[in-house]
Amino acid sequence: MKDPKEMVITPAGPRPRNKVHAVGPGQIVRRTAEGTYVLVPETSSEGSRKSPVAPEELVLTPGGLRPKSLVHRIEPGAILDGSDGRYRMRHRSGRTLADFGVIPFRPVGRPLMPRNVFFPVPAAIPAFGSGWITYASWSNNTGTPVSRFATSWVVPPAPSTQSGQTIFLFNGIQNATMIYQPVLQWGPSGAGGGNNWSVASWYADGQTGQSFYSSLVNVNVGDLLVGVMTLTGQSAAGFSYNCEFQGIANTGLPIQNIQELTWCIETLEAYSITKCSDYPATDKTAMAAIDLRTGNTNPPVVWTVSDAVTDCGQHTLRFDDDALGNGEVDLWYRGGPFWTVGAGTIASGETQEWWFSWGGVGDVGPQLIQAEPLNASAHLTTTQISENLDANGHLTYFATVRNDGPNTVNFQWRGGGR
Amino acid sequence: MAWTAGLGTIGPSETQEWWFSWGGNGDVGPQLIQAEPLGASGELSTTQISESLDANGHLTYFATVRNNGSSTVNFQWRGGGF
Repeated sequence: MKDPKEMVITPAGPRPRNKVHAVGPGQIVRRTAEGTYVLVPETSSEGSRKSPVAPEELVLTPGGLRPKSLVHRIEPGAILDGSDGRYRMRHRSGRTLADFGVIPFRPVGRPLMPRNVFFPVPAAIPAFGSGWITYASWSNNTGTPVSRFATSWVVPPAPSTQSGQTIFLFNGIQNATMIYQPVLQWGPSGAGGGNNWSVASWYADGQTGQSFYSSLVNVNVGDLLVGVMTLTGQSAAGFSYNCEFQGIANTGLPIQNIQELTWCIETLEAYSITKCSDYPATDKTAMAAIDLRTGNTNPPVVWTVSDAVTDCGQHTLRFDDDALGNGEVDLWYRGGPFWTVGAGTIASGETQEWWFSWGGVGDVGPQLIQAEPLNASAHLTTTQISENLDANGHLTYFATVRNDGPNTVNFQWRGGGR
Repeated sequence: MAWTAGLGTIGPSETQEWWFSWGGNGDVGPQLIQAEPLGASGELSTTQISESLDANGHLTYFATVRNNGSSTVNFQWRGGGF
């Protein structure tokens, strides 16, 4: 007899044998209201009649596709409550309006997304990348919970081509189990929408879990959005938050008695992209005026950039590391006209020389190279640019930066040629 | 995109620092900025270009010009990025 706790390998990694189940012909896997899974016959019998069980419709949400039955709208004025290990929609009075079942918990230590984005693409169809395209992240290890995370951005121009694509832009906070996010959306999702921009707040699990959203509200190109998540309470039962687009009615999605949210992100997410013109008809969206607080303070925040999909040149650039009301990262839909490299720190009055090397013989023609400060009250002067040809015939470029400002600051190099 | 801005006058051996600001967050990428003399026998050297980020998250560019010629000359700034 085989040991039920023996570890076996599955496509999703090793796990105990008793957690791995063979699904036979004519069987389907069904998720119960309790959040567990059972194998049931593909056809059900009622008396002598047999009716087929149709596969459940999948709908798109931030985080990918999931069964429609797992996507729930939270009514305006209602609260999503996670106490006692279950999700319930409650009236402000405390009365339960709906019970969504038990809360699954994943091992702590890693953020939910983008590991759990689910969006299968048929292999026969050449596809552009989907899921989390490019993003910046910061993990709160200060020991004090995030109390406010706000970001301002302008609704970008519509994409110049329509291919049934869906684009999500958001700031968000997540833990190992759920993600909380005020989302700007182009295209359809489980909340609705189409070929127009709209906003809603979401609180979502990965592909096998539930997803909750507020009302979806249309917005216009050029509107200034302020996505805000606020810690509203903390007790033995858990943490409570609110998420909304500031000044846009019915976009609030309050939640209470859940696990702490710790990983902050600024993200471009997209699905069903068939060409680069399916992205908004602009180069980038500036996720600006970032106000990130832990308790009553603004912690030092240095964003980590991840460019997961680059088929159209998508990338994220840090612009301002100061989260006190003006921190900014830029989400680029396509390649930038110049290059960006390096991540340095330079003290007031200090001078640094950096080198820049390209492949082959290293010659990329004349290059304009400049140091860009990433902190406020910074003044960086690029004092000289040099070219050096070594004994192997390789050309290397050099640039020198001097900090003429009063503070030690972070910086990066930017440049380009013809 | 090439641009032209400013109209200045600078004496022999004089140095001037000018600032250049764009809308939004002010970021127009790395910029080549040079002073162009508008009079005969003018020899102007653009000695340094700086970028400055202020407390409001706005990026401003600075350039410094020195007149290496023997005459006072008028000049303008020309520049461009990618």
